[in-house]
Order: sequence, then C-alpha cells, then structure tokens
Amino acid sequence: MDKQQLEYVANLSRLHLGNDEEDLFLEQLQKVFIYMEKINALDTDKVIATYNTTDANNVFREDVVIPSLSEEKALQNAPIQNKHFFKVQQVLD
Amino acid sequence: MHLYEFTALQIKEKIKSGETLAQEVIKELLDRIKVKDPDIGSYLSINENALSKACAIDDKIKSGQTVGALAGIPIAIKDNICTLDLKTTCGSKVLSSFLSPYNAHVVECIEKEDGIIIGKTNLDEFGMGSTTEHSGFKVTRNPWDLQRIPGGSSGGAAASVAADISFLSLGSDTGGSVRQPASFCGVVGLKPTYGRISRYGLVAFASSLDQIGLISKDVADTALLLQVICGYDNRDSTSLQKDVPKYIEQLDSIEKKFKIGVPKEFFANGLNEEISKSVNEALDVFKKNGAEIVEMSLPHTEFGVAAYYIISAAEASSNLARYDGVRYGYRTQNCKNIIDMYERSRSESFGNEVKRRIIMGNYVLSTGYYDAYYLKASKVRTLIKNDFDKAFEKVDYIISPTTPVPAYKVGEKVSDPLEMYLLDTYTIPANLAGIPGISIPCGFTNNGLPIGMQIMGRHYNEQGLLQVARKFESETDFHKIKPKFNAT
Repeated sequence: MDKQQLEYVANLSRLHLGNDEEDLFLEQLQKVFIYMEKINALDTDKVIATYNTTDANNVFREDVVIPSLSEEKALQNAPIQNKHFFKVQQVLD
Repeated sequence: MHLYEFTALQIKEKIKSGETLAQEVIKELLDRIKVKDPDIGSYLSINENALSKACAIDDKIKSGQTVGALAGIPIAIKDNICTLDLKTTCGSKVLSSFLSPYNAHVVECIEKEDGIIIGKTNLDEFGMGSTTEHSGFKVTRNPWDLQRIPGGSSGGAAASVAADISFLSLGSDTGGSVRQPASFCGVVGLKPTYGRISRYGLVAFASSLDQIGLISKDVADTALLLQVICGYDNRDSTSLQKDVPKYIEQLDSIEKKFKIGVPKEFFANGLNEEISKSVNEALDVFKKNGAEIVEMSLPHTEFGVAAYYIISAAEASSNLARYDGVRYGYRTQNCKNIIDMYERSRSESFGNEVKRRIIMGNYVLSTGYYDAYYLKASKVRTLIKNDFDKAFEKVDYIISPTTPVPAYKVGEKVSDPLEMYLLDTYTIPANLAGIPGISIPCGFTNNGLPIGMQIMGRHYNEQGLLQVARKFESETDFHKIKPKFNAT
C-alpha cells in the first residue's frame, strides 16, 4: 500500500485523514500488509472459499406480516429530524 | 463471606430459598461497584432500575410465584449488545448517546428468566482490539494488576467478573474477544459454536465470525446462563435449528474415556514458558483422570492471523458503512454538503483502530485486490476449517493455551497494531472454523498473573466442553483464587 492508494481507499471509506494520521496509518498498515502476504505461500487453486461455517444454506421463512418499529422509535436517535423524516443536507444539486 | 463473593448459581439458590433477598444482593453489588469500579473502569453505565427489578422478584418469591432460572442474578452486558433501557455505545463516540429501540435476543431471554441487567461494560470500540484501550471512553484495568490490560475486546465484562463486581457477563467473540480477556483475568470464558446464540441485537463487527459469549466465575455459572440464551431465533438467519441440551443437569455426566489432541503449532516459538508449563500440567490432570492425550498438528495455524484480519476487516468495513450520521449516531456541525457530512461525521467520531480496520477492509475488497486478499483469505479459511474437521475425526477435544503471553502493560502495544494482532493467534482459528472454545483458569505466572487454557470441540458440542472444563475444575482450585484487589 502506498500513499496514493491509502488516500484512494480513505476516500472510498468516507474518511478524511489528517497528514499526521496518514503518515502513521501508512507505516502501520504497510507492516500489516507485508505480514498478510504470507498467505500467498499456500496453493489454494483447488480450494473452495468459506464464507459461512454452518451447514445452513438458504434460510426461508413464511412471509408473515408482523409489527415493526413505530415511527417514534425509528426516529428517536435521529441527529436532526423534520416531522416524519430524517433531515440531511441537499442530496441533488 | 460477602454476597458478591458467591457464584451466580449459589446466589440464585440463596434468593430462591428466601435466605437472601434479591434487593440485598443488588444493593451490596451497587455499593461495591461505586467503591471498586473507579479503579477498574469496567462499566460504561449502570442500570438505575436494577433495585426495583430485584424488589419485584422478591415479591414474586414471597407470594409463592414461580421465578425464572436466573432469578435475581445481576448480569453485566457488553455495550455492543442492545438494551432498551440503557444506552448502547459500542465503546464508540459515534454512538455515545444511542438508545436502542429494541432489546437484543439475549437480553430478552435474561429478563424473561428474571435475571437483572446490572449495567453495560466497556470494550474496544465496536469490538476492534485486544486490550480495551481502544474504547472511545476509558481504559479498563486488570484486577490482578492495575497497571495491566484486562484483554479485550470484552475487557470490561471479564474484569467485572474477576473483581466480583458482576456475577455473570455477556461479551462477544469475533477473534477471541471473550476467551482472551477471560484468560487474562482468571475467569471462565465461552465462545459457543457460530450460530448457537442469536446475534439479533448484537451490533455487527464481522458477521461471519461474531458470536455472543459468556464470562463467569466458574463453569457451572456458564452452563446456567448458556441454558437460557442458547437456541434458535428466527430474527437471526444464521441462528442454528439444533436441540439445546440440558447443560447444568449433564455437567458431571462426562464420558469416561475421551481423547484430547494437543496441536504442536500452539506450543511453538513465542509461547511464554510459564504458560506452556501450566498447560502441560493441566494436561497431566486429564491424563490422571483417564483421558488419552494425543500429539497432533493443525498445519495451517500460522496463516490464521493473516486470514482473520483480512476477512474481519473486510466485513467490518461493510458493516460500519452504516455510521454516516443520517439516522442515528454522531453528526458533525456546519458541513458543506452531504458527502462532507458523511466524511466529517465519520472522521471526527471513529477512533484510530476502527479507522485502520475500515481502510484495511475497503482495500482488500477493492478492485484489483479482492482476489489477492479477500478471496485468498476465504480459501485459507477453508484450509483451517478442514484442519479441524480432520482433527476431530481422531480426537474429541483440542487443548491449547488461550494466549501466548499473560496480560501485558497498559500502553505497551498501542503504537504497534500488528504486534497486538499476532497475540490472537490461538483464539482466531476457532472463529474461522466456527467451532466452540472455552478458556478456563489453569495456573498463575510467578508474577501472580492468571494463565488460561483453551478447550476446543466439535461444532455444537458446548456440552462436552463444559463437562471437560468442569472435570478440570473439580480436580483443581485455580478458579477459586481471587485477586488481592478484591479484598482491599
């Protein structure tokens, strides 16, 4: 990982890093990624990836209507709200 | 003997029989928290309604009504598990005032059985860290030595049980976050099979690895709480539809002959000598009691840490995308536009360890790196899982140290994340494979720091783990030794 890549990924992550933070993270993450390279020593061409360790595959349930959160509860943590809605800055120019 | 010194099971019996009132227990515990917790820092919030709940249970008992399996037991909840009445902060400034609109499944189960939520415990922010120093609010300290970390991320949960300021705790374990602090604090910590306990209401860190776990003073207490919170819940689609055994009743019904595998990779370079000695002595205890000890190999162990930190960071980067300041959580002031609002809200409120993991995760998932990192790590996960599948064809349990070193000093590894990650090497494989693991006290270093032994078993065999752990407890006294801090 180089500085340009770090800035690119930070932007993807919607994180703004200060200069000091950028230098610190770059040094720390470079060390981590060098360590992670060790998995390349393994031949995994014929190995199927594991994303889930239980034997469950598709989990179906009946499509039953049940009560959901009330509007009041759903909005109780809103940083800013306007009547029934979460309020944010203008999204479209 | 003070009430807070009893185990959860003992205190429940006292309350049920009328020998002690639930309100006496709560009062004594709240007083003790006030005096002792400022030195430990295990709690982020205390339940102001605990006393009235205790009084209600006393009334039930007095009037002859039946009470639940956890009647009157004060239970501490890690602060990444949602509670209606208490804030759920995840140890993060992002959620410093977040009040969940619902209770987690486990909290519903505890309240249904008359357990009393006593408070919410400190953690590394969103569970990311192994020391509880990465909390956005405060550092938690180890009751065995206040200069040392309690482990993490469920550090508050483990420290509170060790310091006798909670009877039982719930934590969460993504790469060892229940077993490692239990080991550092000299208490019992169980990570059940992935899917055994519903994650409904557990704030997600790495969804394919996260599992709610239990921390207690002894094995019987873990069995007591597991009985209540284990089982299928349709609100978590990875929850398992498996029968729940009678853990407490079966606790002493251990099979006469069983085979314990000892993986050589877990005793290799880097393991502290005192820990190695203690775990080997523990193996002798099993041997004397008729267990067959077999040396074996889990050949892909050394790749676990790398695979885990790729997979867990990838899942975390996706899970933590939800903290954008729109519907809940921290929102910055005076921003230029909506993108600026997202960016500043996140940057101003996440701690460094969380930022690092989000960046790591988005990097390993980004175009050009997905195959090399995320896909590759997911394949390595298969190899690690296969190692265990093969091993469990030959042995019933696998025993190892829980950690390669005892609790280290506060601040010692803060500047070097990789060094901290590498110390998770013995706990991570169980999460990658989805199998259950328990850490129990098995000795002390010359400095008087607790040593933990990890017992791992086949998928769904929590019962076996509890029986083996209980057998060890019945032959030894390590679980009865308390930190000096408790007496002063």
